[in-house]
Amino acid sequence: MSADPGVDGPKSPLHQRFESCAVVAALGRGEPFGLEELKRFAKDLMAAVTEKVAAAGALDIGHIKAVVESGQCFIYANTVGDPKDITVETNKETPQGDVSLTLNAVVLGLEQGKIHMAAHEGMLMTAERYRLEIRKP
Amino acid sequence: MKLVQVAGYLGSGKTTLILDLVRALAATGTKVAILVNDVGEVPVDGKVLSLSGMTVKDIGGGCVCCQVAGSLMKTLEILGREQKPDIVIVEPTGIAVPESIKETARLAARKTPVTLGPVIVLFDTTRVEKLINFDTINRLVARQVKDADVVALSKVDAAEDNDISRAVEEVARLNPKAKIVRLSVRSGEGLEEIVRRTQQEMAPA
Repeated sequence: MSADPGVDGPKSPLHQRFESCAVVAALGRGEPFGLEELKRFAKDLMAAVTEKVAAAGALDIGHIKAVVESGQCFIYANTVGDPKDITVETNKETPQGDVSLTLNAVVLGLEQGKIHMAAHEGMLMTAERYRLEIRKP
Repeated sequence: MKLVQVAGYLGSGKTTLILDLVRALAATGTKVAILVNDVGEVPVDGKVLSLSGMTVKDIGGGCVCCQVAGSLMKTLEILGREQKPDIVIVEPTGIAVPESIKETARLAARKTPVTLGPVIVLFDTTRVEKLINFDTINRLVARQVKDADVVALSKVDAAEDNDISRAVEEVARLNPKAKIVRLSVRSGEGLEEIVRRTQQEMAPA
């Protein structure tokens, strides 16, 4: 939808130190995932991205959230930066085939390029742990 | 159609509440449309709602309270013309200012029959210290609370009693007129009250 210069404005001053980034990827491996293993993957992914973003110097993690899909199965994982408090919800369908991942991170006090790098590193680290290859970055 | 905002800081539980709220409204025969504005580069919240069987319109490209207010206006016009829902639930970004969204709805009301429903702002009771005292975040959260008609103290099932008390105190200080509702999506506490408030008639836009 096109912008409307009569209504659209500059970024609100209240948003100035918030930046966000996205990671979208298709991942795969030879053996299929079970639902519990895919939930663990989603949870570990949240923890890894949180760790990397914090290490990169974020003042605060606003929200890291991801949708992990495999066949009819989808998992919604999110955290506000506390590794002990990662929420993972699922529609309980059985995963089938490759995994597609859509992740958003909203962070306070870190530039967008650094958030992206940290989120990508967290994704790669978790993928490696689950023997997943990046099919499509 | 009535515009209801489910606003609140990042991670306060907006999408999770909307899932239950829309199901509850649909069960009463209310026709609901959902507009989601994600601050990130790709829409995750909209995807979650869509995968849960809901029809969602995503607004991307920035925050709907400032950078892409025009997209909100145009989407409301399209909804009013094509879908004619009873209620439009808007999930803005977690950093949005609700009053700015109301301003846009007022502009949209010149062309489309939109009225203003309640602004429901979620206040996460598991992160009270951060929301009250962390610089930058506290200014944004204070603004959101001041703009609220209803403040839902979210995640009360997971919060300490003293944090809930602090949250009540802070919200009452910032916005004495706001209705405060304890909310736990996990236990269902407060959901009925939120549904009732959503259906209440408000002043025209």
